[in-house]
Amino acid sequence: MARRSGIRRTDALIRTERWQALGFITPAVAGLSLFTVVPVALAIIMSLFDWPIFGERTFVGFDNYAELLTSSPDFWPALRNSVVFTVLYVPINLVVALGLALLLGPRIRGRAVFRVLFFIPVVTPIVANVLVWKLILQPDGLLNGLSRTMFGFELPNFLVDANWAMISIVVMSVWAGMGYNMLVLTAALEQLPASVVEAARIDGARGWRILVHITIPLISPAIFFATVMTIISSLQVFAQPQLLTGGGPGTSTMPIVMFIYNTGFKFQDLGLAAAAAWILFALIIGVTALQFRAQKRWVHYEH
Amino acid sequence: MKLRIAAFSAAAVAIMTAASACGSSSGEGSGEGSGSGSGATITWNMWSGDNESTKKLEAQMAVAQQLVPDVKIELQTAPWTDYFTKLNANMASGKLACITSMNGQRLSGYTAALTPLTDEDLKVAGISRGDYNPGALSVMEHGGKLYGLPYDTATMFLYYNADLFKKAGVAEPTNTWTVDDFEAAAKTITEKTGVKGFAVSIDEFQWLSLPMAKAGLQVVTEDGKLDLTNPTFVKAAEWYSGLVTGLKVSNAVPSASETTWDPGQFETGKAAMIIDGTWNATKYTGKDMPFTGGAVRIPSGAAGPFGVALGSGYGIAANCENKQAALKVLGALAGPKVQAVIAQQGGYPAQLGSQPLYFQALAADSKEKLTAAFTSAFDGASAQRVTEKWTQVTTAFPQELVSVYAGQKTMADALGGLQQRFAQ
Repeated sequence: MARRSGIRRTDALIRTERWQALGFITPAVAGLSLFTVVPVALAIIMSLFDWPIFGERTFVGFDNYAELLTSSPDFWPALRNSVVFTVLYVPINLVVALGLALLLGPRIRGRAVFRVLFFIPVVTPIVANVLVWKLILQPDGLLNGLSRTMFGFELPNFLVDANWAMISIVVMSVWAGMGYNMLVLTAALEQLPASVVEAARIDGARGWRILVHITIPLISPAIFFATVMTIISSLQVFAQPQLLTGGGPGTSTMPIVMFIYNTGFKFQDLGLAAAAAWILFALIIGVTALQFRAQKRWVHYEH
Repeated sequence: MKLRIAAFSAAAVAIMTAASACGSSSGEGSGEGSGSGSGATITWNMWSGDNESTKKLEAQMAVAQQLVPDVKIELQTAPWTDYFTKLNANMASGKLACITSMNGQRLSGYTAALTPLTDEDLKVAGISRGDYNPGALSVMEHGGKLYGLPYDTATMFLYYNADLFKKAGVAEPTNTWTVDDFEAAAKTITEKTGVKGFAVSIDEFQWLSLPMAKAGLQVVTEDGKLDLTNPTFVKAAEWYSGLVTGLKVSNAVPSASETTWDPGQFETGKAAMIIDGTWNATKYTGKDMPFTGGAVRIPSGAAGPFGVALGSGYGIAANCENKQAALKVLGALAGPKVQAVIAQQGGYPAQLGSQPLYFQALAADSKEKLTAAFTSAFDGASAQRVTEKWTQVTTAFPQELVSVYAGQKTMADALGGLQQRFAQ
């Protein structure tokens, strides 16, 4: 009998806790619904309409998607630019961030100061970063000025040269973004199990072998996290090309988000912009899902 | 399980609600104006990028407020570069300000959001068509309907740095200058002073004006079709880009995001001449410039003097709840008292009767030259024509032109590409 009442009390407690939990979670769920679920649902609906900013809206089914995929002159170049940026930016960012994290290891004096220095571009407004890089990259800027006076050599006009504009954006973005992944990887490096590293050393492993066979596998969860997040953010790149090159020359640096912004807010076609946003969303979800599938092959979790 | 069903039902209801909201036609919403008749508040949305411009607008508003004491006017501003994006966002949410400022070249994209003004409306506003030059209202007209009242009239000028002309021993530009005179002066100044004779532009009329004047035609035909590949214009535009790539009398624009590069070059003395709007006439010829500035009409091409009239004005939002009060405010803001303030502030008023005030307000040392430039520039100027996709065209100009100036694309290819993309 006593046992039965104990069970009843536990059930009652669970029920009470469930309501309490629901109470605690409600504000977050309400916020999520209001600012995420409803806009997302609206965007799906919007993408099926001819939806001008002002005036009559008409249902057009999948016409917006068809227009983007078959007749919009800027959609494919914009999508290609986002992919090119991601393919260039993500590996460089990760290699630089990992390199910095390894360099600023525990043996460096004043490493905290260096970490702060490398992290400053991450917290500096992107507009300020871009202004500095414009002063460096423009024809009468720092880089060309140095080259001209020291070597008498005229550098290309980086921001309007079709071959250099995207590279300039990637270099600037790596500089601005490397600090974040550096911090993530530094944290992982500081958690390396000393016993494993020690055992490898006793076995005679040194330098490169330790890095490739011990360190990287051990921090692979952090690398995986950094890769997933960096790919997502680089597929959404907007501010750097918008401010640095204005999407030019031609459409060579116009990313898909700039295309969406222009289509929706400059050219007033919200339906077409929503459809493009959904294609980008599908691309990001697809790439992320692939990464999660592939992680089993290379990400090493300590159990 | 029950919770899951409840959550699913809530999401479904949210989506259904959203869907039903979408189904309804837009154009609803209140407009930024409240109350009725006496005691109403009318919002006036206008572009302004700095404190000085905002102060000028506040001075205009103060005068308008005295004319309509029973209606409260509220000013909302956004910088020019963001103004139309903000306007689009306001339109999407049905929150367009009752008095919305509109640029004539962009009017075609906003006619659905503005209410056409009838002769009855003009009567309420206390404005007559006769207050304007014949054709001056056309900047605010579309499809035969009037969507607003212009507050200024503008065209493009050739501005020059007189100090650099003197240094190079070149005679200052005149209102009868031809494109050949311009080219010769740019070459001599570049050679003799080491400063570039000109700064090319990637921005709308700042770049279009000189090739249009050389060709003697606009890039939109009279029946509203984009005509960028007209051979005469292409040839003139090639000459224009050749100022950078061939004659090297101008530097190349460093990035497609630098739409205001050329005024910067001129103001800092790095270029002897630029093309810019008449709205900058008092600034570029004023005492605050580090050199003596001058202005003349755009040089003529083989076909003779050529110019286009531009302008901006104020319209009334289609969703404005208090149209009568808005009309009164519109009448005050576009009327002669505020036009006089605009003239004092260095803007060239749209109303015929107020234009002499502009010249009266000019500084003594630039009065004669600017009066001659204005008189000459508006002589025979035709209204600027645009197409439905003009915003797309002007957005793409900078991206294409930087490639041309960098020598990576020919002007003919750039214009051909734009024509192909935006001609329909």
